[in-house]
Amino acid sequence: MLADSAGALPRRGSRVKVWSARVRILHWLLTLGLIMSYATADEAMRVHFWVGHGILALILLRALMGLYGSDQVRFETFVPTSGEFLEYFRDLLKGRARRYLGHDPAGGAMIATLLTTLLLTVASGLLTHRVPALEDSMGEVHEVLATLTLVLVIVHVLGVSVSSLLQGENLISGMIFGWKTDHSEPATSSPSKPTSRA
Amino acid sequence: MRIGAIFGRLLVAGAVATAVFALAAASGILPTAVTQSQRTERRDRGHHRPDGPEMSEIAELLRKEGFSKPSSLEREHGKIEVEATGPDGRRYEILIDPKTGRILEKEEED
Repeated sequence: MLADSAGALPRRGSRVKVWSARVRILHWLLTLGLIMSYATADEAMRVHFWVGHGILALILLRALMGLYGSDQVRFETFVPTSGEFLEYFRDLLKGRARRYLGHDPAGGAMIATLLTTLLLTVASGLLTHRVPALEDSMGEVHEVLATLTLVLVIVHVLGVSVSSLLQGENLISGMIFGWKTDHSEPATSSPSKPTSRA
Repeated sequence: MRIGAIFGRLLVAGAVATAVFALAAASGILPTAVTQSQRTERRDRGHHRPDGPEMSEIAELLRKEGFSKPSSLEREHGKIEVEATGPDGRRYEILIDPKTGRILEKEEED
């Protein structure tokens, strides 16, 4: 299921490489793209327009990685059902949510939501720009979606910060350098059994 | 099939469709779409060229007649229709002849 599935199975508490260079570069390029597109909206439309195309390429790349990539980046390993998502939050409130080496269900849900709103934002922006008949209506939709994306990004950063504090591990540096601490039980215990967190 | 796999397929489909539209629009295949160069041209002409005055000229003309805050510039049957605030503070719909630059009609907005 959503097990701690690092490629190698190292000792408990050891440092493991979680995020490949590819996924980290993609993540921060997307961050850069978002900053650039907010900075250029209404200011430099030509740049804004081409940044949007760049973001679309990144989304497509991430989508393909999510289908055909390694375990750690494949959507089926971390996009939760609503049941798994709610269960995670119940466990979180009770203080017994397990750690995930990859994305936890909240992170997984955020990734899926962000990629969806990003794609819709790009698509509506493209229509606004390319089809004069839709300029006004799609322009409104584009603005609403862009604002929604911004709100999601803020929730994403807050979520990562809170998780970092709860788990005592800097998840942001994990996404920069790729390493995380493996706290999973030794391979003898059942991998589907939740490990309680102190 | 796990939800992640379904999500992945939908996301790929959506991204590919958007990319195809982007490429088609950029290459000028789509009749409804404008390419970047056409768009720049349209903007440079002030959207209402080739044969009419620009918003700045209209604004100047209206200012001489005591009107301010022009908006909603539209071309209709060779005439220019624009909304502006009159000397009495009310909004008017004004019809202008683009050739002579004269005000043909002014009608208070309801």
